[in-house]
Amino acid sequence: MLPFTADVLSALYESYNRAVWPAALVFWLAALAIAGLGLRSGRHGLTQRYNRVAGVVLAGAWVWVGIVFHLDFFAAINFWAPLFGALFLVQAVLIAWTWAYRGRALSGWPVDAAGWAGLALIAYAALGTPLIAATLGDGWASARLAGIAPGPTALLTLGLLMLTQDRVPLHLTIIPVLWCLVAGVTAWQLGVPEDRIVAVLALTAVVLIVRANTRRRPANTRRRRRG
Amino acid sequence: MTHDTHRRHPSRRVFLGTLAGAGIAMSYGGRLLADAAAGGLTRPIPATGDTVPAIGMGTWITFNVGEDSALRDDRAGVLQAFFDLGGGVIDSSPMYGSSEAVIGYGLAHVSGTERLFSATKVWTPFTAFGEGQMAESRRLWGVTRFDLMQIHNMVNWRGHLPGLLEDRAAGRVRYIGVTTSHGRRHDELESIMTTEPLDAVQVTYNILDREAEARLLPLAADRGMAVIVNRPFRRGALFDHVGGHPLPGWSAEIDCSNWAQVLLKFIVSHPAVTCAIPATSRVDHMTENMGALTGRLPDPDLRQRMVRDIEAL
Repeated sequence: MLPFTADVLSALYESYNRAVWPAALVFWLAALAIAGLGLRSGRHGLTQRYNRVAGVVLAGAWVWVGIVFHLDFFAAINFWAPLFGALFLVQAVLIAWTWAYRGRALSGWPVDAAGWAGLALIAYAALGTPLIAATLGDGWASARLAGIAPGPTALLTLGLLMLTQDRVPLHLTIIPVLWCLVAGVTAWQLGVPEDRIVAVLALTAVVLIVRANTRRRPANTRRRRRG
Repeated sequence: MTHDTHRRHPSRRVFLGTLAGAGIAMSYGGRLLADAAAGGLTRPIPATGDTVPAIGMGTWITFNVGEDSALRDDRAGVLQAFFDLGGGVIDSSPMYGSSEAVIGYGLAHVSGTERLFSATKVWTPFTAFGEGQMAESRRLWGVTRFDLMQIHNMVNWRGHLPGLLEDRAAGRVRYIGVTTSHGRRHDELESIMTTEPLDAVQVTYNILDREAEARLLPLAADRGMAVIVNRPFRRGALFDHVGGHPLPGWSAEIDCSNWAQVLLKFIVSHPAVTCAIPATSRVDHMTENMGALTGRLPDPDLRQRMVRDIEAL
């Protein structure tokens, strides 16, 4: 049983968006930039540089959501928020290490069905989520924005991972999928139908990632050949 | 600020209610119990004989509205209605998010708070954190001491109880107790009630969840413990259960004009129950709930019929 209602959660997002404005816009644009960097990585010669920048920015988004959203705002109404905040910081460290430092999540233009699904997931996380909130939900003011809200940030991360040219590092998918399941259960309990899709999308992404990984090469193979 | 002045110098309303409560105790066994029409129904806390209104207020979910000023003002309105209608016992917990802060906000903005009977909980598995958590609760509520400090869901009760006993002896808290909910861990609660010098217990009890009737309520009466009842509406599910059905004919015999009053009067008519704590975020629902403080209560025969009829819905 959740300790808050849908109205209170909506009011929380509204006050959160207002409090972090214009950082909300900056992070949302950064999320779009991450997607752009990810897509360009495979097409041009600046692969590793773009990829590492995308990893750093994405890790920064997870740090922001973990500290500002979970530990500050969400903790006011949910006693689980400190745990969520800790998990988001762990994910930030994993992204920074695996993606930005070791370069093991090399994204690029879609090469298979999982890649195209990843591109669709990114579009949904960055554009679809706020549009749905504005049209079906409580309006723009309480929209969940990629880069500063946990749900779309998790979906954005999964989408970017699906764009990788090699096998997706599965350990980077665990916390995003866990959060999407939490968000789905929350939406189901609160009766917010437009948010339930988050869990469905995450589980679909897992299936596609696992299937794609059976066909793709290990992450380090290409880099070794290039080196 | 403490809020026990009314117990030393009871108001006319509370005094009359107390007399009515005494009447109830004396006449249990008649067809219908004496009513509390002259004032709100009150019940004594066995440890001291001080009385509290038999309908209180829970704050799980309903008062957890965060920092939103409009929602805080709205809940302050609910709190004002609670006091205006004779309420006194407010129960919360550090587990309830921002509820304690919102209560404190409300108490600073409404009148009638001299009737407040403040009840909260200590909720941490770490004994060392308990004292700081209780101090934070006092700060959030804006009180200098709590009337009742409970160990939430018996979490680390062995660790917290010695400190609570010291606090009670030193006057830092008036009463101490433990809570449980969902009807779980009744065996452990029974063991604690048997061995520890508690003033109060909080249990789940309603017309469809009556497990507490078998052992816990008689034990509380035997041990001289107040009983606070949570989930009186089974978290709203009881309204779904009775939804669409008209009030039974016997509801007029106990002066109930809505299902909330029927369900609450079933609970507070049990002789071992001190107070039920329904939660609401709406003034109209608060008005319905507090209506259970007045009018006649069901006797044992009618209570059995209430169970049969409502189970059959």
